[in-house]
Amino acid sequence: MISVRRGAPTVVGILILAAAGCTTSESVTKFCATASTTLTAAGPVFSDMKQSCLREVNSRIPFGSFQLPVQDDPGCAMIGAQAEGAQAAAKILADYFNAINSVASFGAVKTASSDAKDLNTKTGPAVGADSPGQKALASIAMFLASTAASGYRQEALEKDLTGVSANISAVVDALVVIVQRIYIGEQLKSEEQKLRIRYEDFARGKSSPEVTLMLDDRWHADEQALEAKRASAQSLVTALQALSKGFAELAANGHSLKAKDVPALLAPYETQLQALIPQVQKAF
Amino acid sequence: MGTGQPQLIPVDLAAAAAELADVFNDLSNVLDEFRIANLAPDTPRDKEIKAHAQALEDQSHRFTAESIGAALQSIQADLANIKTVTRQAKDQLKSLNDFSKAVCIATAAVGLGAAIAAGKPDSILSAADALRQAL
Repeated sequence: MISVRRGAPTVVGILILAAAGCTTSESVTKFCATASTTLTAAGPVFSDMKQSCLREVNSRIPFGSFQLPVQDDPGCAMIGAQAEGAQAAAKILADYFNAINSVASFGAVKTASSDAKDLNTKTGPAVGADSPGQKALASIAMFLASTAASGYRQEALEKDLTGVSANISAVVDALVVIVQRIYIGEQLKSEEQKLRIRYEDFARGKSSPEVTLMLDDRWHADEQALEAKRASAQSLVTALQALSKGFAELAANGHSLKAKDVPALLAPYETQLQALIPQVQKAF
Repeated sequence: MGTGQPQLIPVDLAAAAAELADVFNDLSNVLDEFRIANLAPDTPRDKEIKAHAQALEDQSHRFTAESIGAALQSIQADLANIKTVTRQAKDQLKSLNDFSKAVCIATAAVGLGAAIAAGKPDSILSAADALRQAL
């Protein structure tokens, strides 16, 4: 069953507004394009979840033992599956914003994802089977698949988007939990702790000040790289929240806004996202 | 309301899994800190404790990643108990300098992690008891 909130905001009004003037259409287009770019920029962050786990596992190898790093590990493989699910969820959302962008630009969906349903089967490990996020993704994927099958037009969207738009925040919430709680809160923290232990372990019993200084330098460099990843991931969380809030406000006010008011509503979110995208990409 | 039945409190399974991952990660770290502070490098004892720390770290990864909803649901009532006993273990390891005792606690903690991952409530209870007795 598709999970749709009662009294959910609709984007019908947005589309009507989009049709009402070039300025409105352009602002919706810009916002959706920026939202899509943000979600694409999230890919390397999700990919690093497994890589961070592997780096942590490889930190068990003592310095100077000249062992090749392991490329796979059962626990990291599980984290990798979660990350792939998160990436698939982000891709579905990006396709959704591209579809809305297309409607705002051309009045019809010119291109849409035909693999949305396949992508959705990968999202279970990330957002949880039968969770609100998973149900929301199923709804969005269904919408995208139907837009791919037929030359979907604005009139037909009016009915379907009412339900689909209400699910955006559920999916974004799930992605925020994955980045904030699992990647920043657990994985990077754990990697950082094991990194410190690796250096402490090596420094045991080595009294040479030169060696200690060199280790300290290397540890600082590794620590800075981790800190950069954490900052980028935090920027992604902020960007996802802004994306969700901007879209929700647009949908909620779609009926009551005048066409000239839409750019003023969306501009702050679009500007914020534009500023955050390079921050997200910085460490990856 | 007023049925006299206890109300089930919805549990955020993702948060519960994250807490378990944190607890096992903390245990792994204090074991590593124990060996660095108390044992000579690359000795059999150092390697034994290191192996336990790695096993706990692997379990932490599993809790981070795995969909352990069913296992967590079956242990909801014991979750607080598990967290208490593992935190007690962590606190004790922090101030410990007795190798045998550290190995006992580490072995019991790894056993508890394995029982939780298997999701069998009886095994979890007995493993939590074993850890409590090792303290």
